[in-house]
Amino acid sequence: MQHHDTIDHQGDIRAFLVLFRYGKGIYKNLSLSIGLVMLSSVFLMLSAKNMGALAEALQNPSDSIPIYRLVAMILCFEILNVWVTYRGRIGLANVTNRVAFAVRQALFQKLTVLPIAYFDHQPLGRTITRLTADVEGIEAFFSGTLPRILTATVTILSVIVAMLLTDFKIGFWIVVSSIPSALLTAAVRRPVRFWTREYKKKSAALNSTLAEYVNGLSVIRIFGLEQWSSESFQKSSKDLMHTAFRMMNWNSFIRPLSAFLCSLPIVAILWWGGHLSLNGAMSLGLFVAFIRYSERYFRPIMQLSFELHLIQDAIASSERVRKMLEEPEEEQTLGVRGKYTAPLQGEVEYRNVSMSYDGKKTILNDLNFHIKSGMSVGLVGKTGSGKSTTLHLIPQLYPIQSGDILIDGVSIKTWDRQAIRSQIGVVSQDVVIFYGTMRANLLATVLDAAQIDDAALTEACRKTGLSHVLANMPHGLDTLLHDGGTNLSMGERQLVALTRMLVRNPKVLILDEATANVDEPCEALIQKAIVELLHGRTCFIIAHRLSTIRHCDRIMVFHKGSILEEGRHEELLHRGGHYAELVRRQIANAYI
Amino acid sequence: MIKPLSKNNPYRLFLGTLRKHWLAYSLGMCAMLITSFSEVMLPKFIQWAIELSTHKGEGPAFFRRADAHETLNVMIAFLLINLTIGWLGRVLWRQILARQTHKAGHHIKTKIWSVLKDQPLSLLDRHSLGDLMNRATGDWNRTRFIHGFTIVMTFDLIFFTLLSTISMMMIDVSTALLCMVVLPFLPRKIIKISKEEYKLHDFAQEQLSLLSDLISQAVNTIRLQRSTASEGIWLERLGSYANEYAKRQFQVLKASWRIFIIAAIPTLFSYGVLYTYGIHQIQNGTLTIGAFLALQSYVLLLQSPLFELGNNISEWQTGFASYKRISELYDLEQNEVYADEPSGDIHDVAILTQNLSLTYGQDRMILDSINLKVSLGDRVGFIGPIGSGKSTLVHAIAGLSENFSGGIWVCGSSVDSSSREWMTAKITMAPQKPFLFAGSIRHNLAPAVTLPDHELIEALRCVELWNDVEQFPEGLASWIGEWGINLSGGQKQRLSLARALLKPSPILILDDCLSAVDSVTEAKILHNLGLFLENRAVLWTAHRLSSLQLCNRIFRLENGTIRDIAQLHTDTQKPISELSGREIDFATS
Repeated sequence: MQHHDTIDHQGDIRAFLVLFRYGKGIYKNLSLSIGLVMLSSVFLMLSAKNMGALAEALQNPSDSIPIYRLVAMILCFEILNVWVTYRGRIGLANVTNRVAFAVRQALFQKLTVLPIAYFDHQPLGRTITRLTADVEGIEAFFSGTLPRILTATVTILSVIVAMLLTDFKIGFWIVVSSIPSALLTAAVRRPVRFWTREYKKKSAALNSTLAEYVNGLSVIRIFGLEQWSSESFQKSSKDLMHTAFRMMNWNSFIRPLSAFLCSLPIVAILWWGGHLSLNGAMSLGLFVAFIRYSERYFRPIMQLSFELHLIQDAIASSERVRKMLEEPEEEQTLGVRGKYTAPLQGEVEYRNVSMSYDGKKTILNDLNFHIKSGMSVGLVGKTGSGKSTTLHLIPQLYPIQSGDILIDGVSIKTWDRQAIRSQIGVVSQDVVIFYGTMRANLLATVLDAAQIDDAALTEACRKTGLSHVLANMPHGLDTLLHDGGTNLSMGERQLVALTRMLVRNPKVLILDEATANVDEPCEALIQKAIVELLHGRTCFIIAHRLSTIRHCDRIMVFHKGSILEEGRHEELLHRGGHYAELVRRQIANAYI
Repeated sequence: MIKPLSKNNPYRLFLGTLRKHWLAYSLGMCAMLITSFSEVMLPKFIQWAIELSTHKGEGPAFFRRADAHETLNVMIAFLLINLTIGWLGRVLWRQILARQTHKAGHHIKTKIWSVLKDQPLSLLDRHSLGDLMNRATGDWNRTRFIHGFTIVMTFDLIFFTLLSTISMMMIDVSTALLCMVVLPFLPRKIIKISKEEYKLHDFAQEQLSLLSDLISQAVNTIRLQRSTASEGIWLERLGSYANEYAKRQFQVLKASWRIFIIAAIPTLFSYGVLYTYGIHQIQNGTLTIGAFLALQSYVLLLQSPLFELGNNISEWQTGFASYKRISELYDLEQNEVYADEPSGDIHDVAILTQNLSLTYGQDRMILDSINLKVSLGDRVGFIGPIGSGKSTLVHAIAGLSENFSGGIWVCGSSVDSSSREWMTAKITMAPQKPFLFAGSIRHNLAPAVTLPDHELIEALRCVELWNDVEQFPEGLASWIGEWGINLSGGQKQRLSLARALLKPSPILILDDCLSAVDSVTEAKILHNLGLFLENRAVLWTAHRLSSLQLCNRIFRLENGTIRDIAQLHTDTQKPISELSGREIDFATS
């Protein structure tokens, strides 16, 4: 299914030249390095030219230029060539290294300004691929292929110039004799690239199948799929091997042929130059110089023919990266960020808010409510009734189509988004726990983490009850948590998430299904933690289990994007409407 | 103490492969020899052509014709023949030795899975998935290379150096020896730097994998970051990781260019010799200008093997180190003893355990002498706090655990001695952490078998998922996984439950398989399930008592022991023991 991810349109070279924009201040070093690479070619040409003169001088010792001077010059050029090549290539490596870093930085920066809707439409795996595989592809190209291609091109061009300047006619025919190899390269570029890609794709697929099987070992065991998995794995591996053979067939045909064709200029000069020399129409010096030119010509041409097709892959990666860098940002989808900042009081008012994710299906329909600072609000309703969407609008994760949301009496359009976001807290059903210490995980959303010392953390843990969990951990706050929190139970993870928010001390707190996955023994703890968290803040709570929200100051029952009923638990129960029906159903399924 | 070489010693495995494919490897070697020979002949032709045109010689006797022009034509014809032979040699070694690389790759990779597939589930406690995947990708790549491409490089190095040296000696012994006088001193230095380069490379790769992990965390936490304006923290961390990686990567590049400088030293030195002593020889008349040019070409040619030497040695070293890591996986292979299949009649007692105990690590007791008897038609629920051993207990009964003590019998046959096929036929499980294959919904519901669609739909209806699946554009054929439809945690659990329901086995284990499903949907599913559970022995674990309302016996597990029967109150407020006629025949420790 990876085909979704390829860009069929063949991007052009500009796609990756654009990337150089991100390496600010590198142009000086870049031109210096390319200059050095060019200089090294000049030295090589001068060495070859002098070699011709030396041969001439050795044959006719009467010539004016003394032999020792020619020898000294040749040795000098050769040594300078090595040194200049070294400096030039290191310089290029430095430049490309920094460009790759700058591209990474630009993408990281982009992550922080892309609208959340972007991540809803794209599988997260694809975004991760942009930031890892694609950048690595570009980087490998920058640090390996690009300098080689650049050097080879510079060398070829300087040899051609040197040959044409030395003797136009002979030089011209030598250049002509290298055309077959160029044609071959152009002709087979497509199949080689196709099979190389095919191979890479299948190889990646095989590896992910293996990872999947290892992860699913229990299912494989329970359903007796050992034989089946072995056979299907073998089949995929065999398929990969045959693709490798196809790729190899092309390579084993093209690479030797291109080596053969690349040596044609030497054959041509030996044959033609030999005959001319025998006739006395060509001096030995010229003959020798041309032989040396052709020798220098041979390798770079071969290199180009092997590596040219890699440019296409790098362009494709660059194209994808560039596309992501050019995606519209929050500033465009949400409007320009406001200027108003103030300490949050926690008053929230929705005025005729209507909202749709795709512009077609209405999710919120003319929503109105006013919550005073410090109130707790429970949101109830079926999946898709709009309660989560309502809460997503407070931190402005999505734009609204009409109406307005006022926070402390000020429109969110006037507010600085970051000012609101930095003063609210969110706990959702999926708790984010990353590899790192408990301390790092608790401080993950605190910008000025240095301000919060261990005593404050411990106090927060005590309030939420996370301290009970910590008591069983040998290293306390320094305990390493695994990626995804796999060494914690679901309930413990939720406690971490709740404590994390308490540490932020937000004025508005949003709990979106925060108790859905909690196991029985943790539930009491978490209920207590929530009560602790509710103190002195405006709270919005979505919960499947009504026990979590029955004590809220106000309960709003959502249906198809509007509020159907609202009031306190007892009032609503008394009214005998939807809420009362829900409560009745839940009690039927509940336990003591 | 000398340890006997194990069957899976990497050197032994490697030699075994060489022996098995000896013909291919010898033919490949011949092709390499031909290739090197053709390459080494090129400077020789240059020498002959120049000597001919300066009237200093006419090349080998069989080139000679009456006229120098004709001799040149013959010479060039032979040069073309030589190049054609070289071309053939190259085609041949690629066809033979490159093929061996890919064949070895296929063999090793399939062997890895054929060993892993039979591993107990504790495999992932001993090896992380990352570790296993590293072995199956990076190590695999290096290992397959020593079966082909690395051999090619070594042959190339040896033949090329040998033939060039011989050719230089044949031109002029004293000049050749002088030119190569520094050569013996360099390889050690080059090998040292190459090793360093490899180390630096690994060092950089380590950082790269840290960076990749961090990137995937950063992308996965994007909503939390955005809602709480905490992107800055991540941005800073990502930046510093990327910067460290860039630094390390640059060190690698620098090391590789240091090798370039060192490998250039002998060339420059040889040039020095050639342009002083060699020129002197020409003036003496002992060396022709053609021979001088040929020597110079050889000096240039000899640079590349020097360049490759360090790489090549490192490739062998890391190749075998990798092979060793792969062979450690081979060592896991167990020769399963298949017991005789128990006689076909299913005992009325579906599950029996006696003094079942299980410890984790040194002294953590997970299960402590559990005695249990479950008959067909029984539906037994387990409830208890995290770590109480619920999952461990059902895993052990399903034959997924090792190292337990006491006895477990499934349908009258001991789990220890039952074959895989027997266990698979008797037991099905829906795990708490649902695992789905990247593939269609149909494939996930009935992996490795084909069931008619109406049965699949019936199971999906039962778990309240058919309405969702029906909405997908491709229905049952919809692809799930990273590149397909993203299912929620609850949907995944329900799909995994449907898969278990579709497998006709007398024992069904439901390991907290509705934990991520909301209570309304859960209630509906429990209502539908009854039919599917008839005449089966069901073990059911849950963290909410309400999930166990279909059970006719409920145990509480605490600290590895069965403590008491939880009294389930339903809306009729009757305890479970009054609702079900069956009474309890179990013994606690």
